Amino acid sequence: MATAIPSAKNLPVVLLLTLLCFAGNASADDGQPVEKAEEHSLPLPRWSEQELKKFRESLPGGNSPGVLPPKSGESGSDINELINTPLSSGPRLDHFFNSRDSELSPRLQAEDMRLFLPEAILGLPTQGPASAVQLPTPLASLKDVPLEFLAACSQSLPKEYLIDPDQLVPEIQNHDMLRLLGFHAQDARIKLYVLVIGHDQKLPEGADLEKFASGSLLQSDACLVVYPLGEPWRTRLFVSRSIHNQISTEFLSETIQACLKESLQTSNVHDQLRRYTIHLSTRLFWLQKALITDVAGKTDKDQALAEFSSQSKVPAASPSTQSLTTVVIGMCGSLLLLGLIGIVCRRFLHLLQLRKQRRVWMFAEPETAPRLGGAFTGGGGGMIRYT
Amino acid sequence: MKCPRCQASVRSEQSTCSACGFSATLLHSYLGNQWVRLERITDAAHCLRLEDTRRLEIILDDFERSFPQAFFAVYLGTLPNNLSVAELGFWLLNQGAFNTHSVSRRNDFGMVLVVDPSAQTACITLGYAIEKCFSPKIISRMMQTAGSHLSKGAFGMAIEASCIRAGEVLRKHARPMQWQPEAVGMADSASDIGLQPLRGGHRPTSRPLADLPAPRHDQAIS
Repeated sequence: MATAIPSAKNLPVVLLLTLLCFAGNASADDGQPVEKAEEHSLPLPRWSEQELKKFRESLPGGNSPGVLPPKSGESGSDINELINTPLSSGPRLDHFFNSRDSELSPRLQAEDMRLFLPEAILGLPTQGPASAVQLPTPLASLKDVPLEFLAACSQSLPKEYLIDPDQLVPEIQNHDMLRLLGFHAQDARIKLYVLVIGHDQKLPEGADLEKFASGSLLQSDACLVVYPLGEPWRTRLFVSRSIHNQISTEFLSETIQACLKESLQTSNVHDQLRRYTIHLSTRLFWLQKALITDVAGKTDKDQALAEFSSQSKVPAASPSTQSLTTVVIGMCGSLLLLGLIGIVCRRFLHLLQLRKQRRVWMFAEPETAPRLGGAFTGGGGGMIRYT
Repeated sequence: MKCPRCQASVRSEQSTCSACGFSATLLHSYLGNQWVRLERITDAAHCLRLEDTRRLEIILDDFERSFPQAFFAVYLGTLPNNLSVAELGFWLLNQGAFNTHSVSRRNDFGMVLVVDPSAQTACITLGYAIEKCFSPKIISRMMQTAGSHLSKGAFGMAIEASCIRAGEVLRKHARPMQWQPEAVGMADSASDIGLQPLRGGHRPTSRPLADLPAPRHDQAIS
């Protein structure tokens, strides 16, 4: 109101108030950034150049890169810059954790980081040609898995489809396999169990496989793969007998060979296991569709495991077929043997006959006195009258 | 040994039969003392079929191959009443030149089977060299076997059985050895290599038996 109708008397007062308002607005616009800068800078510590220099000199590895800003004149090794740049071209992340007294956490060690980070990131050498040229373990060098191993297999949970008591499969691959086998078990009627053993191990004769996975192998149609890590060609495959009796030998043999071929596509032993399992899972789905879906009325005898290995070509043949094959082979062998004996005998008799034909009999020269005046005969012989 | 005429026993070095006075001289007066040539199988009575003759030829060949010194000859014919099969066998083995593979085979290693189908008699005559191989029992059994075939008219079978049985007996008294071809040194004539001349007078030295009269067919050709 005072400003609306200024009078001449109050004019100096109005001018003073107007100046004060402009001054107040101007001071308010200038003071806000100052307050924001103070808010941002307050939580961070500030060091002087001398303090930073002193701190760097106190570190035991003076040349190792740290998280602190580099000295003036050094190449940029800021962690934000390192993360944004390709790992192959610059220093690796593991360089920050290769010492026990790392700056980030004195208790954080490089071995701990390797459990979570891929080996390629950590700069560790991956399994390459060295594992590819690894020679197969000789049969004589194979040793049976210990009893504790079998006991651990028996105590494994029913839905623990990857049985790895010795923890031969690393954690990441282990989780991958568990997820894969779990998905398979959700959709497939034939459960797939994978037992991982060492490359120089084998199952002992007469091992009770039905007890594995707390006996869950007998509860439904199941397939147990005993997989020597790194030697997939020695993999042993067990399926429920009810399945074993229905499928042909050709299918089993082809499955074994296909899985083996798939696993040998890579030289990484864990990747081999993964490929083998994935391919076998696919094959089991195929098999499930081809099989008769008669689940009811199955007994424990039907669910007992029967082995099919790639070494045995015709293990699925029924006993009658085997006996018939044996009889046929025996008959063919006998006929062949008889034929050979006949040929030899005929040859021998022919030689005997030839020798006999060449044999002559010679008489001694007798000295006899003539009888009845005969020069060559003297009445020797006989006469008969026949009627 | 028995006399061919009276079947009386004859001892060694006995020139005539003490019972009937038989000797070779008596036969010479009747049948002659010259050599006669005849085949191993002489079928004057026409008892053998051609098939039997061929088969017997093979059997006799085998016999002569097995016994290079011996031979087996057969005569089938109807004899006169005053001549028995034993007498004819006696005369044939002493005076016959049998046409064997090797004419040089001596008759004392020969045996002759004479059969008279009319009189239904048969006789086997043995040479001096082999007569000791045949005991009277063996001779009797051989003749019985031959007689059983002859009584049926199976002349070929009778001859075959007699020849085979004779071979079995002779093998027990002979020494076996492997046959070796005879080596011929210097050949003076074709006969030394098995080639005989057609005419007897063409090469006298090549005649198989120089002291024998020429065969009848040779005379016909010449």
